[in-house]
Amino acid sequence: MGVFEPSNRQPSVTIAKDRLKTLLIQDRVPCCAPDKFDQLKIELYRTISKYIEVTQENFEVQVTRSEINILLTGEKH
Amino acid sequence: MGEIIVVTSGKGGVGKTTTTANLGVGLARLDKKVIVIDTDLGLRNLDVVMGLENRIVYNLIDVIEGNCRLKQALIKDRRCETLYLLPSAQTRDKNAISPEQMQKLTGELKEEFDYVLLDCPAGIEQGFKNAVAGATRAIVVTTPEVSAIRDADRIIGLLEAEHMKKIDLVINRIRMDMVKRGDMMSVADVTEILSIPLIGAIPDDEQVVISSNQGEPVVGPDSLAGQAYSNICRRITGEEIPFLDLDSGSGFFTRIGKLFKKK
Repeated sequence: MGVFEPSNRQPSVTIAKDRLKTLLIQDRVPCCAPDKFDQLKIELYRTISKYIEVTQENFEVQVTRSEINILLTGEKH
Repeated sequence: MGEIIVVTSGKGGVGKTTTTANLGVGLARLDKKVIVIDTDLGLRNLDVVMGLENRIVYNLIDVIEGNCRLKQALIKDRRCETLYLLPSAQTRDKNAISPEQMQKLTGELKEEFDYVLLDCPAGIEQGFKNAVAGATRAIVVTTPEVSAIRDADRIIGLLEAEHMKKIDLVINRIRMDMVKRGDMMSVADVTEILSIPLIGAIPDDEQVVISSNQGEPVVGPDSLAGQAYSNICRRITGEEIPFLDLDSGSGFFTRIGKLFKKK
């Protein structure tokens, strides 16, 4: 953020680029065509919920390149 | 032997039809023999953008089903002697033709025309497959928005899977004021994300809307968008043209140009 920036608002381009990056990585993972990725998410959700208490609000799956990060944001900070 | 080029985007409403119409006129003005084909079955638009909607007798389906000869279905443009339109059918759906039939048709047309331009429907289903089948070159149109770029990326993936020989990018509706403010992705941003060669960037110019209202082409020297389209046409023919400075949209020369255009 420059000194001359009138507000503390983040330029929306940065947000757009970040969102796009995530989307394109998901789309491009060869084994995870968009519908497959949705399936994977559902199955992961079902499996995890057998052992840990999760709800749809605190469950998020992100595919980054070939790694799978499972983000659990249920804890209260 | 002509070149068969498909104009595609994935997402609807980003300017495929406008781009096809203007590239058609622009290439015809470079003394090329051009045919533009509307492959969007059921939702025909290219004829309207070109102002030829009242001349349609036969359409793409009639040609493919053999209800008429190919020549009978071709509509000559009002201004360009060397530009023809093959309109789409309004009443049929996407499954009325197959990729093989399109391949055969475009194969015949390229014997006679320098450029066969195919206006592809939105989406990635049958209509897309039909439009892409005969093409050896693709122009992917996108706008600097997350949804349009995401769809363009998927389309590029599909085109690469179909072994499309050449894929170029057109970025449409750029607003330099927003880019400068940090509220719109720049030409460089979009090109970098999609990583295919850029063949043109079109500013968001109200003249595009005015022209399409009138059924007239915008391509030509009178507006910044028109110049951008002219440059794309020359790049298609293989010329190397530097990219326009889109920032001059509100500049001195454009305003002078507009003054002279007023009748």
